[in-house]
Amino acid sequence: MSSFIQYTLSGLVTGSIYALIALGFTIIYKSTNIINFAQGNFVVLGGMLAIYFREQLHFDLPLTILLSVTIVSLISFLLEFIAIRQCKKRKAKLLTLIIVTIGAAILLRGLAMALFWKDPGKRFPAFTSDAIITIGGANIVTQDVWIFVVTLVTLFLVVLFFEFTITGKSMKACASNKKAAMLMGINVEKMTSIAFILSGMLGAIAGIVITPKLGMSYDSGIFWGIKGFCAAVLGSLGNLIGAVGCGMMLGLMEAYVIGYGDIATFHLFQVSNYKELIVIIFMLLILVIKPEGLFAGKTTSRV
Amino acid sequence: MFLNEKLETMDRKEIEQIQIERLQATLNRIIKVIPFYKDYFQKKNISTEDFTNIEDIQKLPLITREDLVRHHPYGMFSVPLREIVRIYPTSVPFRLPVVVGYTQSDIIKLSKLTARVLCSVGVKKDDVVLINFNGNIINGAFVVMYGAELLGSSVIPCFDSNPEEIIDILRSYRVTKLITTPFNALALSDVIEQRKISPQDLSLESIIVGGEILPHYHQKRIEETFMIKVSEIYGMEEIIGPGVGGECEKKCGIHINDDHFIAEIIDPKTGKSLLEGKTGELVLTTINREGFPLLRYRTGNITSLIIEKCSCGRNFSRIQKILNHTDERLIINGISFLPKHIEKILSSYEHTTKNYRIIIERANNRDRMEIEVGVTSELFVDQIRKMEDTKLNIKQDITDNLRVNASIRLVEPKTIPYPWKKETNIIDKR
Amino acid sequence: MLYIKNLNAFYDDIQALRNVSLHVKEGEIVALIGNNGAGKSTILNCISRIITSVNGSMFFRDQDMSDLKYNKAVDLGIVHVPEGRCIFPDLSVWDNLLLGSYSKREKLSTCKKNINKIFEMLPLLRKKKDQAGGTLSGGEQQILAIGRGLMAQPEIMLLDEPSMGLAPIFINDVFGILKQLKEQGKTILIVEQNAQKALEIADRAYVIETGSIILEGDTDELKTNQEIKRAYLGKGYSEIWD
Repeated sequence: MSSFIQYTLSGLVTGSIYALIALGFTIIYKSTNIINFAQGNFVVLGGMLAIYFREQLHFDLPLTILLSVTIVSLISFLLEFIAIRQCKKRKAKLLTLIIVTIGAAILLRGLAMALFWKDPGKRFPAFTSDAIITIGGANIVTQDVWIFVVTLVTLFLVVLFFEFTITGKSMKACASNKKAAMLMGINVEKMTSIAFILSGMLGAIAGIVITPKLGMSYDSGIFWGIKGFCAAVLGSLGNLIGAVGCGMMLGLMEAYVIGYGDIATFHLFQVSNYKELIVIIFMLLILVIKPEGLFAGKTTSRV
Repeated sequence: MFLNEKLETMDRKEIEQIQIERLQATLNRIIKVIPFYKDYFQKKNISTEDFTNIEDIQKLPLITREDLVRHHPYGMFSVPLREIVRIYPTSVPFRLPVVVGYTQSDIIKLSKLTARVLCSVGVKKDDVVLINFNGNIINGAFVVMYGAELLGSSVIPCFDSNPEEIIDILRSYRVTKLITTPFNALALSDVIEQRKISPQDLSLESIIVGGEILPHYHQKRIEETFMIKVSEIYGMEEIIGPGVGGECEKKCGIHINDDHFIAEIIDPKTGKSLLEGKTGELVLTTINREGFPLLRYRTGNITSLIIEKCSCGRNFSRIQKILNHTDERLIINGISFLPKHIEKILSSYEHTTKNYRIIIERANNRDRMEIEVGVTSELFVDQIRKMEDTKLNIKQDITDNLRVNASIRLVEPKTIPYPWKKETNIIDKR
Repeated sequence: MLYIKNLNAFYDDIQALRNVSLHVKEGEIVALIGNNGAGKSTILNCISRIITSVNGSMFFRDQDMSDLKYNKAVDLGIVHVPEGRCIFPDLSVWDNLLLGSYSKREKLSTCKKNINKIFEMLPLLRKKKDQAGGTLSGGEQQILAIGRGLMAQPEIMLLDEPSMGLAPIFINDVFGILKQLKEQGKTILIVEQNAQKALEIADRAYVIETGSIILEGDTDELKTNQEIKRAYLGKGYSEIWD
């Protein structure tokens, strides 16, 4: 039993990170229909900047978080402002825009390597302590609690933003019907900028909270990106709750595969080594059965 | 007074907006259907898109009555004949006929327009309006009737009645407004004087004249006999009759209904546009006609154009009182004709030579015309009776054809110069 | 109020409007009628600045609109209720209305008051206020779209095909609302394929054909135009002669 709790808890913690990244994908997709493949690199940048400020410049934690989040948001904003907007002005197709984000991902990865360091697994100390907390026989570190709490708070704030502020509602409106939003006087370009800034923030936060636990290297952008993307797609792209739910689900699944996979297959296959593969196969299966994702909205426009 | 104050007092910016809109719409319509314009646009290599402001109207050709004659009868119509609800041939003695067509909405429009013009000259809902037109401007009479009825006035239409009858109607029906031609108004003045009727016996408040040039002295005569004001309305039979414009109560020129017409002044000799204020020939463009749009039609009337706000509140452009015509037409007591028409009549008689002379005098604010006809000496040696017959016949012929009275004198041809030249053959002592 | 001169609009290489000049005066209802694809909607899109690849002069109350961004046009009071309603399907009716007042940047309490005013005028919406916009029927969506437009307190309302694809009963409802707006003295520029209805409600109308205006006039004059009867009011020649 304690091992089940252990797997569940660690699954929820990884799941939280996936959820944060998936949220980033979702917000941008919602307001622009673009899938931003640079989202994983925002996580990496957030983490590496935090290491840099904390370890090399010895800033204290709040300042580190503030600076890292701000810089990553700024980068995200610039990505939209410089690349995406210009392409749109030249009437680029959606696919082109998505390829632009892939280009941005490669560029950011290169920059991270050139400006910071190549050695993998660098980290900075946990937010509070490295103490271990035991819950129902399962052990977790305090950083795990931080990860979980930060995710929940962020999620809560994001939902609050979208449901109860006029800006959030206008962003939803932009996603819902761009032309109508324009005709309401909503500045669609501004809303797009806000969406990118917001996703940058979410990516950076994910990077900062996970680094003390797993460390961060310049090339792990793809890893985080894929995971977040899977969660967002499973959660029916564009659905905030879906993104978070599926992020959590993916995390749990991975944990269970690691925990029980070997036993379930009688140690014939080293299943735990293929956890990524299994998760992706699972995702493909779901999408074959339910292409619109698990959280597809009930409403469709009727004429 | 205004029929629709907002519309009639709109500022120049609005007027110009409406003018360009309607000009463009008219061009877009006619270019497809009138071969004359289709060919012209092709030849000049222009398209309707080249008309972006009012000045571009100068890219269009000037149209004369002769052009209309050339495309007689339906060549200048812009809708199929089945959509025309009224066909009105306008014919002037000795001139080829021109036919004008109106669609149903044209009739509505021109009724509204005429109502507006009548309103501006002071016709009101509670007026009893006598409309007295005759002969060749009967169409104008209908238009005026529609307009007056639209205003709600009580209309008495009197076409082709004689002046005596009119005076009786004026008296017994307590007519307050008389709408007529200068000729009729002058004839009525004569009757009033002859029968020594006191103007106070009439309920008449004002007389509105249109259809022909009204010289100042004629206006003065009518005003003095009736002891009321005379206002003018302006129109052309080829355009819509008397709805083109009218005087307002300030009497500072005739307001053209700029939302339905574009008025220009050109130099009659060169056809070049003249600046505002310069005197020249008035050219009118109808911009709101469906059946028979006329673009840049040369009216032949000499006047000048003023574009400034009138103290009555209208911003419509104004033309000065029209006193002249581009052709050599003579106007005798409100009836106009060309001297060559007289020539034509005279040439149909034997014994006449081509020599003749017209002498016009003004007496008691009435015009008197005397025609000296050169006849061959054979007639002189013949009996007096034959001479008298010829005189009477010529006189009758002129009255029948041109509706003007003239006294005829037969003279020896050598007393009058030949060939015909206006300066020497017409002696206008007015 | 709105003055447009020589408007030319382009979709890529195709010229959709040619020298379109039109104006709308304060308190006037003006209809644009014409066939499908004649350019009616394009005109509205130009006015609301959704389409910017245009040339020509556009003035709204002495304000030059040629460099105006779409959201500034709404700020000026130009409110466009687009073709096909374009409501926000996954937002509630209430949120749809709330977003209508986005350009006003008012306090939430004022917005609430205004929404209640709309509910009074369009009671149908009150009943459905928590429903997602996408679940409404076409007619209800159209009414919502008009209500949302009114939330912006328009100086001039641009209505694009409000009766398109609606059941006849809803067409009457929609035009009933428009009549109400007319009585309130609202300025409206309406694009309609249902020329009959449009001419009933409008003061003036423009007839547009392949991107150019070919007729303009008061509606009572245009109603008698045989060409309009045949082409847009759906009356054949036989009917006209009968």
